[in-house]
Amino acid sequence: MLHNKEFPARREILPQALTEITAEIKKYFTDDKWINRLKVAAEEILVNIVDYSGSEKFYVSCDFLEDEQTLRFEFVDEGELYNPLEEVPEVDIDEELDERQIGGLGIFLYETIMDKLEYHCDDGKNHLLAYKKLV
Amino acid sequence: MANYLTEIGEVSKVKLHGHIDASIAPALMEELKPLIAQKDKVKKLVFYADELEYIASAGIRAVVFAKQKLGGKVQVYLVGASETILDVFKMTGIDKFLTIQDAFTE
Repeated sequence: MLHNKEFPARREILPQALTEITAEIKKYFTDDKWINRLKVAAEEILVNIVDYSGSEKFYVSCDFLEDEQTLRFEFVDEGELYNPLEEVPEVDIDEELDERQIGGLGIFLYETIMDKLEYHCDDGKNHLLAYKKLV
Repeated sequence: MANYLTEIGEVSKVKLHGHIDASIAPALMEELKPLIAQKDKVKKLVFYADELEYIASAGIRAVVFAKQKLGGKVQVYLVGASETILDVFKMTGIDKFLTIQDAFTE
C-alpha cells in the first residue's frame, strides 16, 4: 500500500516511484493495456512535478474506493502553488506532425487516460487526485 | 550511452529497448542528433521496438523530434511494437505519421 510515500523530486527517482505505483495498479487491474496506461499517466504527472514545481520532494498515495470500484492516486508536492488543470494545452491528434508543438503531450495523456482529475492546495502544498474506475 | 542508434545511412536504424521514460529519453534524444546532422543521406528511418517494454511521452517526443527534423520526405517506421506500446502511440495520434510494421519491409 502506498500512503503518502515520500520520494526525492528528481528524474532519476522516477523509475523507482513508478515501480511502486505499478505494483499498486496491478493489485486491481489485470489488463496489460490499462496497467501500462495508468503507469504512463502517473509518470506524466510526476514529470511535471519534478521538472516544473520546484519541490524537493513529492508524495504518492494510492487507494481503492470499494463503493465506486475506483483506483485513486494522490500526488502531493511542496513547490510553487499551481493548478495544472487550469491550463491544459489543446493537443489536436489529427494535426500534421510537422506543425505539432512538441510540448503538452504529457498532460494530454493523463487527462485522456484518467476518468477524473481534481486539484486543491492544502497547507501550502499542491494536491492532484487522479481517479480510474476498474475496466 | 544506451546504444539506440545502430546505423546511419539511406535506411537508418534505431533500436529501442527497455523502458524509455523521462529519465532515459534525453539519452535517446542525444543519440538521434548525429542522425539529424546527416539527414541528407537518410531516406528511411526505422525504429525497431520489439525489445521496447515501455514508453511515455518523453520517448514519443524523441520520435516526433526525429520525424520533424528529418522532414516530410523521410519515411519513418515503427517495427515490432507490442500492443501496449502501440496503444500509447495511438493515444497521441503519432501512429498516423509512422509506417507500422511487424517486421521491416521496404
